[in-house]
Amino acid sequence: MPEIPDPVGAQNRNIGDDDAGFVARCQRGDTEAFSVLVRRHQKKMLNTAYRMIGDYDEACDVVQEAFLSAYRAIGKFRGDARFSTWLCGIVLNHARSHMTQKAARSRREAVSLDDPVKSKDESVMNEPRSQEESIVERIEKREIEAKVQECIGFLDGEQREVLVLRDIQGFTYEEIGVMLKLPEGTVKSRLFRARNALKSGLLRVFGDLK
Amino acid sequence: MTCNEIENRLPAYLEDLLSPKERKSMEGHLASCPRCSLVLADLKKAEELVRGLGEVEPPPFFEQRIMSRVREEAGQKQGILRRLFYPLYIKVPVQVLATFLVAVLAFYVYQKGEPEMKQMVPFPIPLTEHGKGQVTSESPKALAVPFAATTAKRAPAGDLPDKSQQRFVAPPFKSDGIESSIADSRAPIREERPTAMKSAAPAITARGKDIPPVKAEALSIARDRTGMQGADSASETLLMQQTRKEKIAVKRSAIDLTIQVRDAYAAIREIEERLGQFNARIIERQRLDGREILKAEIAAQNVAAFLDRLEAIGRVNVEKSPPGVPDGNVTVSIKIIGNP
Repeated sequence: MPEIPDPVGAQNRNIGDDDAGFVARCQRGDTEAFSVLVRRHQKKMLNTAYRMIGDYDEACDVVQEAFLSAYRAIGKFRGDARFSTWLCGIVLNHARSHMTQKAARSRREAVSLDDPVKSKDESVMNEPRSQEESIVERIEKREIEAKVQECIGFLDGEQREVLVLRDIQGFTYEEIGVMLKLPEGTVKSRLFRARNALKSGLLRVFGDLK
Repeated sequence: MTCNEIENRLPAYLEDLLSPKERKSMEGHLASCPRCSLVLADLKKAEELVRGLGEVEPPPFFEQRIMSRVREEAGQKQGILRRLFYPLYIKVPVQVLATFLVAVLAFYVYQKGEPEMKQMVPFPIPLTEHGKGQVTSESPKALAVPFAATTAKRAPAGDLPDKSQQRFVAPPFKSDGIESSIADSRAPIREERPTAMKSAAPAITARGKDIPPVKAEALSIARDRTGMQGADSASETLLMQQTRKEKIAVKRSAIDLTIQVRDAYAAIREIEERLGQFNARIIERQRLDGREILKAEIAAQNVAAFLDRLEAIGRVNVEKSPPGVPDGNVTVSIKIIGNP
């Protein structure tokens, strides 16, 4: 069972949060208020999980379970941090747990050569398509994104977390520190190492980044 | 700073997190080192690629799927809470009320079934301590029925409540009235007994064929046997013990008779008066199947005279009588049948 981030451990200060009203209603037992929170945060949480896991369907399952965990634990949420920060911490915990289980399963099961190979493109089927992009451009972009995602997947789990949260999802160092229960300095140094590692990985994949 | 050190610090440089002195040193190195400048360019490009990653859209009905799970969870949670933490201000009164209802129902069932049990169980013989009128041995149910210590004169039949059974415990013999000289001492009683029985004999024979004749020989045998019969039951043993305390040896026998009258209630009153005249003690009074049954203890020497008086009230039919003339007291069971 993935760990639920402790809201008490968050910084003890009042944070302006647009979700506070709906969170309070949920804490009083209003289930429908939670649907508003789901609607607001589902996309960001799904993208976070997807960039962490690299598989769209698995990311959907992880996010679904994370929302359910959040609903169960919403009574413990005191509003010391933003709801989105707290929720993202839950998603990260579920994603970590999922990847651990997946790694253990893949070690146990021998991979057969007859197994159908799933195309990585299948996982990004729901990407928005710009009308201006030509098919060739779209294919090129998808290939590049797939390679970048592959490189992100090669990163160490801790580095991947901070890279996704900072460079893809745009959380502040403070928020990342709350989610990962790390000091800001540690978050920054870990992020810089992650960026350097990703650059090295991209150079290996693309040959040249120009 | 070496190139490796510069390379490690480049991300911080891009975030503008270096001190001004460190930044100046970094910029000087980058201007003179093409390799580190290339690394910086690659780093910028990698960051661009990451930031340029497109967002994936949630699948259709993703929110609905999540909310259906949430609602299911909420329903289960509520169900568990209802079972475990049912409000005590409702739960406790409901349990108290249920307990009370069960108790009332059990009492009602017990009361409804009681008359049938009474018919199955033989009637207990109520025993009194002479001189006090207190019950010494009684069934549990009989204790619940209020007792009324009364003489034959004090309990008129018309005042009886309409119950299936009513018992009266009469006070002990009193030595006042016309017959006081008869009841006072035992010696005169024994002397007068043959006289009394002689007078009873023609009265009994005059009643009809079904009255058994009383024979003189059987009387002496019966005197010996009555003591054994009385000792048979536990209640009589208790009574014997009580009478021993009073140093009076009481020997009993029983006479069952039926009397047919026009007005049962008036007859009861008259019979009670007669019993009172003979200093008889009413032991029990019952109403069974619409018939009044009186049980009384009467001195053996008064039995014949009492039967004579009964003849004046109605038609007497002696169903059972002792084989001889007993000593002491005789229990007379009178079944009064109204025949309008």
